[in-house]
Amino acid sequence: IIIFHFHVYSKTINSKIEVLRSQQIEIKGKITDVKGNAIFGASILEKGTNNATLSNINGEFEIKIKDKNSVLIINFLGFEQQNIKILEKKYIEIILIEDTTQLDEIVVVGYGSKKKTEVTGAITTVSTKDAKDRAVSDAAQLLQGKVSGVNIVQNSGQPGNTNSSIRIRGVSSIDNNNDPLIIIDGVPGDFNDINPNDIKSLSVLKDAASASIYGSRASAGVIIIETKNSSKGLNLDYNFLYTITQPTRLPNMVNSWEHAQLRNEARQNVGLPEIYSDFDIKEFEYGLNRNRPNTDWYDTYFQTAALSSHYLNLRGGDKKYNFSSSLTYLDQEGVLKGTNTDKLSFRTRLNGKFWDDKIIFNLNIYGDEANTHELSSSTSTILSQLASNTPTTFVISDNGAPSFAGRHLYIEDIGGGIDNQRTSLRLQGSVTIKPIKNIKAKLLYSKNRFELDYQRLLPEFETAGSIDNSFEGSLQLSSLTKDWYQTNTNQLTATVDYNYKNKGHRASFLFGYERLERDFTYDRAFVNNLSNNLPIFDFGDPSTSFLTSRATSNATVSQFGRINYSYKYRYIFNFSMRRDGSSRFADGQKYGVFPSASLGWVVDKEKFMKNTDVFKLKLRASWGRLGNQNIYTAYAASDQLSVTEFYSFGGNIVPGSGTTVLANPDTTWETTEQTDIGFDMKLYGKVTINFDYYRKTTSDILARITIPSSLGVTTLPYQNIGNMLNEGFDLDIGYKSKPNPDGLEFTINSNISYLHNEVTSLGNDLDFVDHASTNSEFGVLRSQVGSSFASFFGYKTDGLLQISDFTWQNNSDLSIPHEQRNYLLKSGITDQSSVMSNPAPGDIKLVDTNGDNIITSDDKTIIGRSIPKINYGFNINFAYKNWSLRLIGQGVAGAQAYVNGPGVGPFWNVGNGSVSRELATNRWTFENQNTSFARLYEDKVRDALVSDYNIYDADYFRMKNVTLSYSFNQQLLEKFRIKKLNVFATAENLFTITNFLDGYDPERDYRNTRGNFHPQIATMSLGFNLSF
Amino acid sequence: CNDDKFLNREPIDFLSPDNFTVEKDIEYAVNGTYKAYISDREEPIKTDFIVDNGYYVGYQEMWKRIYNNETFFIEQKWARNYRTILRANTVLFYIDDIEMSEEKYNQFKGEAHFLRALAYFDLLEFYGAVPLRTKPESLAEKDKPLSSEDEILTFILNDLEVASTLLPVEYDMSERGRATKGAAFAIKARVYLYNKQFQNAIDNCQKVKDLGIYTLMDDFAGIFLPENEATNTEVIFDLQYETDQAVRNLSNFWYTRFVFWGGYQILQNLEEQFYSTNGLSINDPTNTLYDTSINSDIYSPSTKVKNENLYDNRFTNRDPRMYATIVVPYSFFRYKRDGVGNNADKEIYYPSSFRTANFSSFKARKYVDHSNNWVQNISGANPVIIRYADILLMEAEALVEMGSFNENYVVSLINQVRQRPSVMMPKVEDVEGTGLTQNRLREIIRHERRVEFALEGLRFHDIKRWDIGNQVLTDAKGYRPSRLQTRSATYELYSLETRTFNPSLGYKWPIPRTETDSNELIE
Repeated sequence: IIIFHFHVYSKTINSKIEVLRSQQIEIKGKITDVKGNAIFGASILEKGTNNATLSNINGEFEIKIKDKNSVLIINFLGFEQQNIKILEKKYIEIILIEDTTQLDEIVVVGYGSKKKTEVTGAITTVSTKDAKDRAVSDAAQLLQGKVSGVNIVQNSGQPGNTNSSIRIRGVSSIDNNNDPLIIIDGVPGDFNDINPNDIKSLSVLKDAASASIYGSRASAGVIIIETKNSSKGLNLDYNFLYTITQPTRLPNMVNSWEHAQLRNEARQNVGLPEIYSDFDIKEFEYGLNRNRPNTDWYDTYFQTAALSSHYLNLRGGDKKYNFSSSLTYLDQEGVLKGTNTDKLSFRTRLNGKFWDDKIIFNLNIYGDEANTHELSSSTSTILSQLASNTPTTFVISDNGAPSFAGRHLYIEDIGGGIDNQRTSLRLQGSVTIKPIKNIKAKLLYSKNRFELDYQRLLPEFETAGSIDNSFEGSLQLSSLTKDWYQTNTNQLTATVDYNYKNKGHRASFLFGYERLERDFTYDRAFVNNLSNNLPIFDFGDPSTSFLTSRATSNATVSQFGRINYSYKYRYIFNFSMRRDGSSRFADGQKYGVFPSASLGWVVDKEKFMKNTDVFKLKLRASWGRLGNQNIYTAYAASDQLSVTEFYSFGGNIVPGSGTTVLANPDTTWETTEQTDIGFDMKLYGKVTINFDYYRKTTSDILARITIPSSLGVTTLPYQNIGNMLNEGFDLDIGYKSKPNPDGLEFTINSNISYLHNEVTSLGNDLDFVDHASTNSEFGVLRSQVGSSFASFFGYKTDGLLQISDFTWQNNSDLSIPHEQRNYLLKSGITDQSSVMSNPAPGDIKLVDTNGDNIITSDDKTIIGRSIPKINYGFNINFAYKNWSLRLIGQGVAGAQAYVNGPGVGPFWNVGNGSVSRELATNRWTFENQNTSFARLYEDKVRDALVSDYNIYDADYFRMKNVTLSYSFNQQLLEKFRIKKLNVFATAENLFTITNFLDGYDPERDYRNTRGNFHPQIATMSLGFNLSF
Repeated sequence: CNDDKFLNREPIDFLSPDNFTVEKDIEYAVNGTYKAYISDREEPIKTDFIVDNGYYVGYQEMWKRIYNNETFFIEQKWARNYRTILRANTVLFYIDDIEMSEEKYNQFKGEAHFLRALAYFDLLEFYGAVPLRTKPESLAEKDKPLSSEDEILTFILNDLEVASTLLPVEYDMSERGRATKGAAFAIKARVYLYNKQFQNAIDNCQKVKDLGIYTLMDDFAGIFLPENEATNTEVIFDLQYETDQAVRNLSNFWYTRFVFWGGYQILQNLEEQFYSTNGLSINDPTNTLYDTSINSDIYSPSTKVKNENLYDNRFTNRDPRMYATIVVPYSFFRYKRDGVGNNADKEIYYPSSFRTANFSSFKARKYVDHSNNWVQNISGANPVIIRYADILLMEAEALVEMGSFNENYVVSLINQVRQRPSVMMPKVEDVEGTGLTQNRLREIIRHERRVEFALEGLRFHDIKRWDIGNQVLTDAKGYRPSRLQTRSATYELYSLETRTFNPSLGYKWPIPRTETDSNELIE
């Protein structure tokens, strides 16, 4: 650090020393920002001369000037220029103010960067300054609530599962990948690969013109992540965070004795015999018999958990080289007992410049290793089982054996469970050559290796049966499973840039070539009956062993180009084109071409607007075409013959084969076209308004539509079938108060977006596609022409059937007690007995939508929407002296969710699951007829009825983050040779306002049509950021 | 060019059928066809739980007959059979391109024809007219009209005819389980009988007998246990499962479901069909052997039950097939863990302990292999598709239905089944006398089938063929389990689920909606 300093100084002083000898006034000073942070490297120029210097690491400078009337011009990138008259001062303190009027910040675009003025598409760059004092393990959460047009759903708070789903401007594919393309330092990756602290900038490319340079992978939008670069000098940052986490909401179920009574009631309601005697119910209530318990399963399985994280970053460099290297360690306990994850990640960037900066080398190495422990079944399985458990089941019986429901924690105690080790290593190297001025050629090669090792060890144990288990006690065999997943991705990118400048005309040209290949392998080994409770196959019974492998390989090849032209930064034009080839499609379908064009007009640069700082305006328009080849099969054009169709003859296992997937050689690209019109406005240098209207149409949507199962396969092949429309607007409004270093300052950024999604056609023959990639979605989600993607499909209801809708014996003789009446629907009330056996008062009343006076499956219709109409968010920062407070809020409106299944529907699937306190209290009974909750039942047929009775308003507003931080005074810190110290307290998901179903989180993947998934977590943390 | 080469990625982990080159490819495709036929591991036993033998709440819509074209049970059977058909078609379509010995060629071809016939026969029985696909078809050929029941029937009979000429009579022990000539004749007899072509049914029964390799097993219970597979001379064709091969989907779960789950319930409707050892029905007032009093020795600790195979009075002196088919209250239902074969470790079935799931107080016993020793879903028991007793009773039924028959011969066929050494129920003539009418003989045969083949997946077809749905598809009856406690017992007969037979629904199932929605040639 000292050497570097000295070097700069000596150069400055040497070159000027002759001129300055005659008359010298020595001025000293210090340059800081409004917060008092020293600014390093600001230039200080004596006006009208070549006399200049730079501020040192502490912001200090000294300069010798000619006379006291000289003016010093202070400049630092990103800050407003200041002119200071010296007069009699010998020491001056200069506070630089961040330049907010200047729109000329650099924006990251595909394969390059641009001045913000030259941007003609809808690109939002998000500040990630908050990363260091937030308790987020997933970088995607940094985006949540901050960008209009982007809907982020944190799918769960499960440790190690950081896969938030991100939808940019709706969905454009039916059951393919709608995830945006994520580019990290020029190479595709995902949010798992990046530590939030390492991110320098996150840019969201929303419109087609911005994204189309990525062609066939960009139809769901692109997010470009740039990682932190090096800085000058030598810096060391250390961030620490300690967090406690809790589930946001958990279901509240009834007690065991209530469960027993209610289940008897539910069974009587549908004419089934009672189960529990009064004696049983008393036993549950008195709690004297350990086998007649009152178990709160959520209480049993959930806990308050802790998380701690450490982040260390060392960076530095000078003009010729720089580096940045970081190490992160995260240790997270799950709110589900027994689950935890620890993750170590590292990241190193090295840059070196040679031959007068004509050749630049860059090396990046980064990777991580995460170890996740889960209970003996996957967390999602456990959660679905938890919902199915009843309070009448014990965890551990009086003889020490667990119930089937309680086995997971027991297995954990005796040494079983699931261990996942996820390792990723990314190596990246590039060389950039600038042979002559204005030409830049870059070659980038990257190799990513991803591995997931999965191990599941189940020791042998016995379960005990319980009164409520239809499953009696049994012996669980020991077993060992190991899975190895490996993905290798290689990418080669070559680009050439040419810049042209002449009198206000500026043009740049980009040409590129890219190759990408991805190989995937999966291997599994399994054995039963281990003689020893160790994860070693040799201890297993070889006759039970099983081996299997899968492998796929796919590749894309692309050529692309882009032309930017601007005239005096006033008129801007962009054109780009990409041609992609994909191995997933058959010959003749392999290639797709994706062009785009965009225009910008910077109105305030026009003469008639000149000299106004009050009003800045840019108008933008763009159009582009994008593709999607990201289907879940690598070989759409081949019949797939499974070779694991084992059979047995004479007691010997023999291999067998059979066609499991039919080929569709016509499969080709999905194509999305998007038009975007928008403006960026700035008023009084304080208020910024960005608005975009867009219309996005997708055609040739690839979907797995139903085929006749008489073809002999049940896995559905992809077919290009439909068109979909996404239309809406995005609005971002920001306000920034005047700089006020000694008082209160604040900034507000808010955004709102509206989305209309509609399936516009599904080919000639089809009106709808059912979504059925998992069982729980089966029969609930449907994409139908004229409705929104993945709408809920089922029966409409009109409240509940009431006694007045029925007749009974002796001309509805009121003296007959309810339980002895044979209720029959009155004529005039639609007969629903064909889909619901013996409808009675308190059942949901189904609507005869087709008017044929009988309810059949033909009466099902679209009953709700899974895509919210409105997303909004805000981000407010207050600063007062050393204190700052940040609030991030986020919400959706016009959202609906279908929730049913165990724990939600009563006694789901014949007594799996209980009932919630909410349902128990409000259920329809003859004593409580004035309610919207149906009567209880235990009936699979009623369970299977999908109706709008189970559609809930899923609007919510969530206080995503609240952070209070304090920065220590630098003067104080200097004594300890510390540059910066910040302490903070932060809370994620602090509170949520919603009318959603009690006990369940409204922020959920639309496919979660059952109640049982890992709850979101709320966290409270303390931490600090320290810089040397 | 170079890029095209880079983009040319061949599948790594699977073959396409058009890449078949060697005999093994065909052999595996044949094996895979068998696998397709067991791809629903509940078949064919599950259909007994939608009629009057059993009740399982998982099949409630089917049992209550409120199914529709979206009911999973109905889609599942359709898919299972067409999966088998596609694979058989694949074998038949590609086999001529591959070089192999004539012996293997005939065998593979015969097996494919046989399995395809089995699948179409199941479709014909449950759905009637269905699309007829005779070769592997692509997405472009997805639309296919229904072929009439007659066309399907003709096709099945032709497949079986071809199979019976190509298939060998027997295999080496290492190949046991493959389709044989006898299996083709036997299924053919069944197809003819179900379609009321009685003389053809009789002829094919005769062809099975003429092969001279099938006999009745002495031990009735042993027919259904894996330990007897190698020596089982009664089974003509069965589905192959192996113990502890769940990982390859080659184990079934009947042991688990019948022993450890309460949900699979046997109805009193079946229990009452097992006669007393005097050959009289328990509902026959003249049956003096049937005693409804309660034997106090059955109560816990039940030492006598465990040591002496004691049953409560009402369950003693009954057709021995009852004990091999169902578990009655206060009787042995499983061994304690590690106690297989050890009397001291028997566990007794007290219905009150199972009442949250079992409401009938009867459990299933057939296909329960206690050697699984408490481990779930690893059973290697082979569900029987057809066995020699069926040949005898089919022949008897066909003869009686033809109207002109030799009573002594018919009765002798029935007596063979009744009098296997482990059963030894009285001869027909000893109970019923001689000079029996056609109707009486018909009833005797129908009753014999009910008790002989319970839980073997045949009852649905019998009810349909005899059109007795309105008599038998009624309420599910059982004894109230809460009254059958460890130290007291009252047999309270009640309906645990009600049902009325709606004749307009018939016996045929609707074609699944997934098919009609996407196959545009089906209305």
